[in-house]
Amino acid sequence: MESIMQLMQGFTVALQPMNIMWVTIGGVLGTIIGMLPGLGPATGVAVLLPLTFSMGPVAALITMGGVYYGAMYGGSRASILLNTPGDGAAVAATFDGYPMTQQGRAEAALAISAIASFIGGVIATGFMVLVSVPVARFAIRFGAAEYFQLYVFALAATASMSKGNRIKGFMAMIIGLMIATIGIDAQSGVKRFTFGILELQSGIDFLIVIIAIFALGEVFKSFQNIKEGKTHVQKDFGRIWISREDWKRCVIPILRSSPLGFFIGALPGAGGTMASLMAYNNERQMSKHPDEFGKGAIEGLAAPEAANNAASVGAMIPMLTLGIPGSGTTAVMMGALMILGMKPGPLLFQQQPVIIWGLIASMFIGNIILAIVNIPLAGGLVRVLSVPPKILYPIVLGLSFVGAYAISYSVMDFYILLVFGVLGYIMGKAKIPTSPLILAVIVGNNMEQSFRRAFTISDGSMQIFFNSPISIVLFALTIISICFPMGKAVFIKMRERRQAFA
Amino acid sequence: MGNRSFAASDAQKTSLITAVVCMLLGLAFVIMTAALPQAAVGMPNAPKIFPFALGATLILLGAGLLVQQLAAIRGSTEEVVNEHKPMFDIHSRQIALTVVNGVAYGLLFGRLGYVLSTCVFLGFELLLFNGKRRWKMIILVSVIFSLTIYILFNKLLGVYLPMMPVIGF
Repeated sequence: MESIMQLMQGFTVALQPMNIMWVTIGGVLGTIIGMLPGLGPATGVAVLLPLTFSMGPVAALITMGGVYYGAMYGGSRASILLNTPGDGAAVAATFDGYPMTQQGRAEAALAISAIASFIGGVIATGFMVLVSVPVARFAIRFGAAEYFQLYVFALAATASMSKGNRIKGFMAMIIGLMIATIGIDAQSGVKRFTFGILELQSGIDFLIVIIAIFALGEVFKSFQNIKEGKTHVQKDFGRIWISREDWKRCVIPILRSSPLGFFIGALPGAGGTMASLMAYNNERQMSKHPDEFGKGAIEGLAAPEAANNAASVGAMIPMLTLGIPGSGTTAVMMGALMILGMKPGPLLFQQQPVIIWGLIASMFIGNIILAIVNIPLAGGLVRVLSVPPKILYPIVLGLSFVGAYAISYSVMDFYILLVFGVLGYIMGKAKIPTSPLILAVIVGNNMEQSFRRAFTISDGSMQIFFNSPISIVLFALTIISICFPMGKAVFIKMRERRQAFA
Repeated sequence: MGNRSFAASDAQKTSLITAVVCMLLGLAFVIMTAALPQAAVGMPNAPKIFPFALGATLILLGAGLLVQQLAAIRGSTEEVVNEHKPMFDIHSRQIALTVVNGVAYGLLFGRLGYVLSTCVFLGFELLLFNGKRRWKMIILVSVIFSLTIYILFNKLLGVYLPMMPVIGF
C-alpha cells in the first residue's frame, strides 16, 4: 500500500508540464541516437548526459529515462526498417521485423513494436512497484562482507554469461577492477598507479570509460563497417496501426514475454539482449506455426520487443536498491544518479523517495509519450535514418568529447577518452566482451572498500566472508554462475560425442 | 607425433596474443603494486592486497587461456584456412588519425575556445569519413554543430565551454 501511495506522489511530480516536456525531448533525442547502428541506449544516455547537468535531480532523471526509452524505440526502428540493430537488445527485432518491411507491412511492424514495448514497459513498471521496496528492505541487512560477496556474484555472473570465450569475460572483469584501483586510496591516502599525473589522483571517472568504450569504440569500428552509398529507407507510410487479427496473435505473446523480460532484466549480467532472444525462442517453440518465424510473423516481433522493454525496467531494480547496475545502460543511469549526489543502494528509497518514485512514475509516462511520439511521427523520425552514417558518426564523436568535458571540465579527460576508446576497439578485435569491464570499473571501488572493511572488522580473518547465511548463499550463487555454463558446455560435448559414436 | 604440423587459425592466434599480453599486464601490475608505498595508518599492506590479487588473477587467466588455446590447436585435425589479412590496414590508419586529431583537439581546446577548436576537429573527422570532394558539406556541418552545441550548452544549459580569446564568444 505504502508503495502505491508513494507512486501516486511520484505521478504528481512526473506529470508537471516541465517534466513532461523533458521526457518528450529526451525521448526524441534518444530515438535519434538509438537509430544509429551500433549505438544503443547506453551510448545515448552517456552522450546526452551533459544536457541534464543544470537541471534539478528529478528533471535530470526523467530526461535520462526518456533518452533510455527513446533509444530503445529508435533501436527497433532501425532493426525493422533497415535490418541494422542499434544494440544487442534490438537484434531480435530484425528476425521478423525486417521481413515484415520487405513484405510491405512496415506500418504494422512499427505499430506493434511500439505497442508491445509500451505494454512490456507498463507491466514491468507495475512489478517494480511491488518488488523494489521489499528488496531494498532486505538489502539494508547487508554488511561489508555481504556486499563484497554480492559484488563478486554480480561480476562473476556478468563475466560468465558474456558471449564467447568465458576466460576472456573474466579477463575483462579483472582489467576493469584494475582501472578502478587507479587514484588515491580512500582509506590510506596512498596514491596508486597515478604515474605522477595529477588528474589521475581522483581516479578515472567511469562515465568517461563508458563513453569511450561505447561511443568511441563504435565509431572506430564503423570505419570498417560503414556502407558506401545511400541507404534507402521507407519514409512514406500508410496508417501506422495493426489489424484486429494481428492484435489477437500478439496479445498472449506480449503478456507472456513481459514478466520473463522483467525477471531476466533484474538478474545481474543478463540484460535486454538475453531477454529478447529468450522471448523470441520461447514464442517460436510455443507457436502453432513455428515455420512462419523469421519470415515476418508479427508475434515474433511483438514478443522480443515487450521483453526488451520489460528487461530495461527490471534492470533498474538491482541498480536502485543494491547499487549494482545489471546492464550497460543502467550503469550510465547510475552514473547520472551519482553525479546528482545520490548514492544508489537500499537507503535511497528512504532518503530520496520523491526522486525515486518520480522516476518510476515517469517510466509509465515515458512509455505512453514514446508510444504517442513513435506511432504518428514515425515517418518524420525515420528520416534520420537517411542521413548518411558518414556524417552522423563524426557528430557522435563530437558529442562524446563535449560530454566528457562537461563531466569534469578537464581536457585531460579527452586523452583518457581516447585511450579507452582504443582499448574498447582492441577488445572488440580480440573478442573480449566489454560489459564485464564496465561493470567492474563501476563497482570496483566499492568492492575493494567493502572487502577491506570486512577484513578490518574480522582482524584479518577470511572467515567473516562466510559467517552469515546471506554471504554463504551469495557465495554459492557465485560458484553456480561460474560452473553452470561450464557444466552445460561439457554436457553438450559429451552428448555430441555419444551421438557421433552411436 | 610424427610430421603432423600444428596450424592455428587467425582467431586462435589472436587469442594466444591476448593470453600473453594479459599475463604481461598482470605481471606489470603485480610489480607496480609491490612498489607502492605502505600505508601510514592501519595495516601497512592494506592498499596492496586487492591490486596484488587482481594482478595474480590476470596472470592465471592468461595462462588458462594459453593452455586452452594450445590444447585446441593440438587437438584440431581440420585444415586451417586463413585469410591472411594484414594486421594494419587502412582502417588502422583512420583510427590512428582520429586519435591524433583527438589529441590535437585537446591541445587546441583551451587555446582556441570551443567553437573554433571543434570546427577544426570535426572538420578533419568528417574529411576522414567523407573525403575532400564534399568540402562544402564538411564546412557546413562542422560550423553548425559547434555553434549549436556552444549556444545550447553555454546559454541554455549552463555548462560552460571555453570561449574564443579576444572575440570572447
